[in-house]
Amino acid sequence: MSAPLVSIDNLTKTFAADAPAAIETLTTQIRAGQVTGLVGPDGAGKTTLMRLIAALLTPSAGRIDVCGLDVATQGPAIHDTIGYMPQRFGLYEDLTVMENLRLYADLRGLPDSARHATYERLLAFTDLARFTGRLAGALSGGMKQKLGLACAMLRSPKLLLLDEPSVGVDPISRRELWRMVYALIADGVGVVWSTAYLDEAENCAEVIVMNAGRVLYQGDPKAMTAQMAGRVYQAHGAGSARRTLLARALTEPQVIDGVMQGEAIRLVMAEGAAPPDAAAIGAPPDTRITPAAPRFEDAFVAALGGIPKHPLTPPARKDFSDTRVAPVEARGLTRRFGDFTAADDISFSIRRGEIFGLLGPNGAGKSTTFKMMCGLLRPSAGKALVDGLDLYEAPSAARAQLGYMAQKFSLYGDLSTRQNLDFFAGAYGLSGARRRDAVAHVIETFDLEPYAKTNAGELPLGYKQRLALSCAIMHEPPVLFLDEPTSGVDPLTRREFWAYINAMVGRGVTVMVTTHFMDEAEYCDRVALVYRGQVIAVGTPEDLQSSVRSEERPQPTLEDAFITLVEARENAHKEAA
Amino acid sequence: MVWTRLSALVVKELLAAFRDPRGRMALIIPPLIQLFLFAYAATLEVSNVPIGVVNQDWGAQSTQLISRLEHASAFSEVRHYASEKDAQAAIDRQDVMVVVEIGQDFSRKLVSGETPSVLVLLDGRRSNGAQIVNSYVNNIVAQYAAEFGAGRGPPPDSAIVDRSWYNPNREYRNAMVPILIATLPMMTVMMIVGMSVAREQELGTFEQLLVSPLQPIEIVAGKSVPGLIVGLAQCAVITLIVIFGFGIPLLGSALVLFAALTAFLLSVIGVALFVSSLATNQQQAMMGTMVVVMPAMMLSGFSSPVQNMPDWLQPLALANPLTHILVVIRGLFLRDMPTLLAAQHIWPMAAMAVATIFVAAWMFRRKVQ
Repeated sequence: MSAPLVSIDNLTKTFAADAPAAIETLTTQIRAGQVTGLVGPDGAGKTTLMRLIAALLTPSAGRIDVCGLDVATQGPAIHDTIGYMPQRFGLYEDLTVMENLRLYADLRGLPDSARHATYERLLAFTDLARFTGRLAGALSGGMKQKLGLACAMLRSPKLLLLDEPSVGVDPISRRELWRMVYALIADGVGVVWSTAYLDEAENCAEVIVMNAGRVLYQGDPKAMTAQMAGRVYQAHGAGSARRTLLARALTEPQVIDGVMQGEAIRLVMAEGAAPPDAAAIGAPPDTRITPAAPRFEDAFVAALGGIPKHPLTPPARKDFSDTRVAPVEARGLTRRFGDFTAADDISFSIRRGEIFGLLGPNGAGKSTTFKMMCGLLRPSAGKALVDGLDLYEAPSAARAQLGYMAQKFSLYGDLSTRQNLDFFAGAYGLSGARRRDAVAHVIETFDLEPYAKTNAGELPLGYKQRLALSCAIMHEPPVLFLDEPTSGVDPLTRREFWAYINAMVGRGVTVMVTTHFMDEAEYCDRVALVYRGQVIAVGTPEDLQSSVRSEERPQPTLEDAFITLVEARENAHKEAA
Repeated sequence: MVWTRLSALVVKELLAAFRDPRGRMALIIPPLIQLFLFAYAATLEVSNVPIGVVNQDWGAQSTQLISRLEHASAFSEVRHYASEKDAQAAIDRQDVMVVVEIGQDFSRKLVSGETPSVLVLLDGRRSNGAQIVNSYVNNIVAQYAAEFGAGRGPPPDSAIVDRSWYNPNREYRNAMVPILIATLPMMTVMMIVGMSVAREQELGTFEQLLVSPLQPIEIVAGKSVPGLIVGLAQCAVITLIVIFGFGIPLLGSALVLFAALTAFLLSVIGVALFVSSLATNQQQAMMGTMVVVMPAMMLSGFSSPVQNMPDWLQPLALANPLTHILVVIRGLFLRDMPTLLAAQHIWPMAAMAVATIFVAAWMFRRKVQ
């Protein structure tokens, strides 16, 4: 085992005297030549720890040594030996890729003699050589992260700190980022990779699991996962009853975690508990319960004490089981931008009470399609229908039928929770007693009362999610559109969010969701894979998985299916060309 | 239904403007500071300035003339210089901006009935102030010469007597301060309306509005009404300060004044919405606002009369709502402008308001394309 690159001794960081410590008496080591995963829910202190290691913050107590330098006194020397890529890397969007590189080379004082070779090496490494003249603002999420990485690596750092590098990056670019990081550690660089995506933790040699400023676990992620052996089960064959089954199973004290996995549900039992009993949780008679291989995420949720036991299920108010017209339908949707066809003859129809996912890599046309379905972008040809109403012929009436939740938090941050609710209720035409009733109802359902007077911008992340969803559903729309609703959100908040969505779907609400986050896709009944402006596959997650099953990969994940299908289409395209 | 949506939007806008204490202060404090700065500091009058004199004449007449200069209220003191060279150096140092040079033969010529000449040296770098001082000096010299002549030879054929109607004391403040009733709220309204749409676009909340059943024209109305409320409130406060604080009486009808201000503010809101529909972030909206406000000020007759502008520029000045509101405000404050005359300036502003607001609504519609 190599010598520690960073050693942290009894570190404490407090930002205000009366606030709880952001990091409390933390002692750990980070080694060279491996990827150390920094894992934890939002607000766990991951970013604070990164900034402390990067000598951008000074410790309140304790000591950090980076490459033998003390962060409290030798900050500038540390800045010269490490590379740090913050969550939103400071790329200049109005400069080209090359100009950004040159600027950071100037800022980091890279000698002129070394520049040419460094640029060539980094551009080849990040595969950005073809795009040097493109504005950074016009790059896709994955390419921006690669450029950010290139800028952080200009001085060949010994330690590379990456703060949530994979947020907003599609699975294909994400694999490329990992490939790049593995190439770096082979050269002896130490990499710290913080993430809320737990499947990534399994790629790390070592993980540091944090919660509320403390370390819950440090070591090999496989060892942590192994602790869960015999506690994870899958229930197959519950069919359309699986959502209610999951909600019911989660109320059992022995069940500490449960998620949807396509047609199956995955349950994690408390330590020493018996396997789940199908009859006891009210499963349909032909439900089969089988043991499953544990994942890191199971261990992570267990380490955090399981998911909270106060299910917030919105009580049924309106039933949408009328099935005369398809609630959402795309008919030959096409959108051209000049010569470029972003969406090409896209058609699908979503059934009532279905969760339908639009999947696709960045720039594939998934967002364009989604925007046309929301009424935010006029199609060049084709129709977008909500509840049988054309969004561009009867915009106001059609929009009244849908609830929309944007990708990033987009409520009024300087208004209070209640003012936001009042406004959105009014914007959807609710007045007087109906408005008061609707607002009171969501405040009760989503437990928003303690934060009713807090500015929306200052809410904890989980409550922001709840408020955004509340604003979207107060007018009780039969259709709900969600744009990457839990991107960058930690597993607990994500579970809570999907529990609401599942409960609403149980009442006949139809949901369309865009995502490139496979855990979200697992909650979908059907997904459509969009690539190069076309739907290249539609089906249940299992259909997609089984379509790519092969000798060497008998158990493909949904992400495998995604990548295989996209690559197959890409190869077909190349052959045709 | 429409009213519910609209009122929700208006309430939200007002909350957004007033909930944050800093935002609240930003609407109240800067206009007040500007009002007082404008009224006291940015004056065009010249008073209490020193004046230089080079007297090469030893006669009694030149001494009399200098004593008149000394007694003029516009001048704080008379500085004597021995030669033109010294005086020039004083102007170079900007000690004085005007030097009066009295020639050797001043007294002699005056006594002998000839026309003496007095040289006035002006600092062209401060042309505006120097011009005004020059006219004061001219008046004093002409008056002295006339009075001197009156005692002796035949009186001059005619004398010019001037009266300033509507502002008998030619008080700069009476003409300049009331127009702040329009210009200060114009800036505020341009800012809050122009920035609010851009801010929503930056935060992503504009998309939330676009996916709601709100129609483009409703969004435009919802953005306009709060701007109008805040703008008119500011107009009212400034009007009260002008009348009671500065003691400048409103001779015309307050009703006509506020009718004109409403039309004016609506046209400003229309322009602000139009600018913000072109901008994609707050920085661009801010720049756009500046690009519109500065020429609007210059073309309005705020500091130089519209009649002095070249012919090709005058139609542009007439399409500027600020030009019209300034005419109405000056008319109502300095004299009791007849309503009919005011109406001739109100309708162009109302037309501008309707045109710009509909163009803005059309632009918002195009955002969904």
